[in-house]
Amino acid sequence: MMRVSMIGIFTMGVLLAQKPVVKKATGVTYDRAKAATCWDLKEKGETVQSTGCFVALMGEKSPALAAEGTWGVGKYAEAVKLFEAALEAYPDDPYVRIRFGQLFWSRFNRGEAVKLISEALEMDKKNSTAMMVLARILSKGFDSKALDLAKAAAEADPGLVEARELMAQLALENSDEKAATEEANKALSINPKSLNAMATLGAIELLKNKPTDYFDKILAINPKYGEAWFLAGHHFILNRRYEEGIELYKKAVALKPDMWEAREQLGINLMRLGKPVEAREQLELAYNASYHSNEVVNSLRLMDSYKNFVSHKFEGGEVRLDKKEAAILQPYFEEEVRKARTTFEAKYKMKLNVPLEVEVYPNHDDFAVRTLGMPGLGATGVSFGPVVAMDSPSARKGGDYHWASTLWHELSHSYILVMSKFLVPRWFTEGISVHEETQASPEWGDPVEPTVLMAIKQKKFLPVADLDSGFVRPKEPMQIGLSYFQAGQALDWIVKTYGQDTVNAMVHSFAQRKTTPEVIQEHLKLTPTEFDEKLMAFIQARYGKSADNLKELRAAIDGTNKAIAKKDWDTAISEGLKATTGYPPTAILATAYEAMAKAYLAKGEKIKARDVLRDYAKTSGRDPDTLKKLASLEEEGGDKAMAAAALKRLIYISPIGDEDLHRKLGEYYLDLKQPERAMPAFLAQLASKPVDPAGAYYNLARSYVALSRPKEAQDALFQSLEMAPGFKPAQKLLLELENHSSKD
Amino acid sequence: MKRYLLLLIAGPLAATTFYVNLGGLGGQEDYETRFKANVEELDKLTKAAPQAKVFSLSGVQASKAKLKDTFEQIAREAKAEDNLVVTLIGHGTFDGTDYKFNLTGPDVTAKELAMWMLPVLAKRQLLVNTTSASGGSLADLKQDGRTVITATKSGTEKLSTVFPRFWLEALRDPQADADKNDVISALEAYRYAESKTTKYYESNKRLATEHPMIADTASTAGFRTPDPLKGEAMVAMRMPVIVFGTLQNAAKTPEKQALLRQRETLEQQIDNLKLRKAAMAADQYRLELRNLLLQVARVQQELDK
Repeated sequence: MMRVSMIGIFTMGVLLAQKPVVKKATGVTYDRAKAATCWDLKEKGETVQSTGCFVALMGEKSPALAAEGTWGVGKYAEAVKLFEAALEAYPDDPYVRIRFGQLFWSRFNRGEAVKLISEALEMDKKNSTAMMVLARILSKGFDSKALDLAKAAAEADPGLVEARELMAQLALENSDEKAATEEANKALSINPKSLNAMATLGAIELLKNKPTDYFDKILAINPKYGEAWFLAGHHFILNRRYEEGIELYKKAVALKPDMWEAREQLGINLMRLGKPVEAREQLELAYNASYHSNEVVNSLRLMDSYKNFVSHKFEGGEVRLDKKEAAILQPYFEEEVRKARTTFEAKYKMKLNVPLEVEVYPNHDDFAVRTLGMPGLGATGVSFGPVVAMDSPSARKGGDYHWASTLWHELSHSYILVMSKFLVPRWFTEGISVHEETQASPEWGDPVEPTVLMAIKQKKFLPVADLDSGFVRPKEPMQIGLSYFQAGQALDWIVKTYGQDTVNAMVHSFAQRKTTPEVIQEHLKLTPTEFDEKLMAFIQARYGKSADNLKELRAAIDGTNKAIAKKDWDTAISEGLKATTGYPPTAILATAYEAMAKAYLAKGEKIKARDVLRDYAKTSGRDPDTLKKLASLEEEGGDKAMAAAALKRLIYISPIGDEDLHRKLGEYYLDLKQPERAMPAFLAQLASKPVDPAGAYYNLARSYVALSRPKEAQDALFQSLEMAPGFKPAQKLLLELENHSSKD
Repeated sequence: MKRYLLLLIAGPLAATTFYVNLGGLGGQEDYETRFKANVEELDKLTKAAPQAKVFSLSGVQASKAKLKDTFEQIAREAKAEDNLVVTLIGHGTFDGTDYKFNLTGPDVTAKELAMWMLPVLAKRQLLVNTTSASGGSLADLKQDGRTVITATKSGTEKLSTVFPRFWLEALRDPQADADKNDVISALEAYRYAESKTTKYYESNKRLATEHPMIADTASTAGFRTPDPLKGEAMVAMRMPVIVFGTLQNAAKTPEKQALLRQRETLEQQIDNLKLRKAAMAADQYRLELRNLLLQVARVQQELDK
């Protein structure tokens, strides 16, 4: 599985103003200006006046106006019925469909909204209002069609200020300040009081840490226009500046307490930063006001499940784990967090003055909701600065997911984000994180997939100056994976060629708001084009042979598998050797190693099988049964240290629900006189609901004895013998402990 | 909870355990090979048990007529103090009324199996049905004193099962002997196989298509995870499936039999103490437990001399 991480994706939608647009359209059938007046009042925060206005609309004969009135006072079900009546009354008026669609959108029914507005566009292909509404809906999902629609709307109606406002916002979402400024200025030239255009310009200045008077201007026009702060907050969150984004959201709801989407996003981002109490308060406010968006509902449900989590704090860190698996995972997560902290502080020459917090979710959808408020996220981990949320190994099929690799990846983000004041470009921080995965262990990280090898051959990589777009707005799904690979290779090359200190210096330059071309020029003395050329040469040198011979590689692996099916062991081995000899480690080699090991075992050549499986493990082979086979071959060969090393790999891959793994590992460590490692292994076995708890407690007691912890050893023995009073080895150890203590 | 041990050392060690290991029709080469290998392994494991009389049938030998003959022979030979352990490995079907175990030639139904086992005098009986849809056989096979274990909870779980793999593992893995008394009881083997089956589906992220069950009285609907402290599966707890040689050797002399009885008494005291645990102060419980455990350990030292 391609492991993908992410740092801060966000949604926006408050700018999908409910106010109807007073424009000419095909088949106008009712006085929409009347409704617009009410919505204007609501937008200005004139609650009493707007409510009176909406109530008056409810008495109108036109079902469309009555629908606007009932919608305005929050009677959504009745508004739906009235809009249905309006559709019958005005079948040729696309505007009724647009407004009906907007009602659905405001009540979180995207499907019906898109359907109705698309129907309106079918009726009137040049309907700029329909284009704009649809563009706003699509923009919430970062759909690139949103920009096309906004452009089409602006072309259809050059005076349409909303189109320019949206284009400005989309450009800023894409980190294109120049285009954002141009579009915002165009909006202001159409309407000098365009609040959203001013908010975009103000956000650009705030993002640059510059003072701005745009917000004063906005509030002078509309003192309750919280949307301006919300818009700015949205862009700070997109730039992973969560603390500042949260403060801006707080300003938004202070101005406009009933801006529920702002409370929703405030809640989600407070949750991201590990502030569940404050987050719940905001989310419940939204929920209790009937703002039942999927994000709000999912997040509150997730928070309800937090009672199933336990927190474990230690020096420099905290891990929050599901109770069911905490006893198994806690020692290993703590060990890795401690190691990562020590490693990164030395490497990046910086110290975090807060603990690293790691949340681990056994249910992937819970992790997704924790991250986005919605399920369906492809990533396995996410860093919000010092707070990391990630999948538990139990969230994935054994062998598909290397949790420690993901943990180091995300913790690296934690440092780089803080070190760069959250200003590092996406490609650079992802590149460092991918690089760090294999620095922790060369066996970690994602092995290179055939799709990447094909991309190398086809030279499908983005220029470094545009590499961020591969993460943020990929043109095709596989571009995300390719961008991770490319960024990781880029950092491998920079570290190898210039050293870690140069990487650190580059991060500091990014912190000073320098651009990718500027930073590359300053520290690597290269133009972006020269950088791209050197990087491609580096990638080619590493993987060119595999990329150029992918067809032959696949044929050899295919030949191996066919030979295995025919039990032609010699051919399987010779074809396997063809596939693996002289090629760098890539994902496709795992099958060849497995087949060769099978063939050697069938021939009774266990040492050769073991050696092949050692190569398999070194090239990121992660099938649990195959690694267990390697461990047993190592044991048969008399090397328990290597057997333990083989099994230890599985701790990082599939440690849940496998009591035998922990038991064997503990037994190896006891034999190797490493009780400090044996003890957590037996504790993990006990937490796995073992079939032999008496045996597990006995082994735990042996570990405690070896660690000179007699009291705990005795406790463990009592547990063992309570279940199995006739358990002879435990009886013997109990008598030894008694004799020892009586001598003391 | 090991109150059956006195029974074992007083009589059943001299008693015979009749094992019927039955491999059904595979239908495909893969299954044929697997079922045959499983029955061969079961044959080996059961023949290694003391006082065992083993009837292993698989492939073309495993016909309905041959099976009926086998039960008739056992009915002629078995005495009340003997044990009967029947294990079915293969495919099963359930049509809503009848469970059938697939054999070469006519299949055998659960009702027929129950009828054939009825004349067998052995008071302790165990039937382990590891097939697909085996839950459909539970109602026909269960009776007081007979432990019935099925790989599935009902006849509608029709896919091939992994339970037999773990049942066999239980009979050869010393870990299955959870109370370490050198006897793997039906309950211990069931818990082992059930736990491994559940974890198999969990770790492979697959929807479980089998849910093992155990029943040991006519009135129970069966348990997935029985708790003897609630009086569940008490018969299964006393039903030995495999007895290791060490227990047999321990009872060779009158002196050792006396020590075994002493140990048994102490172990009963431990059981009683455990029942009173909830009502006791933790320190007092620990003190009494420690004293009893030390006494048991010292008696065992004498036994091992």
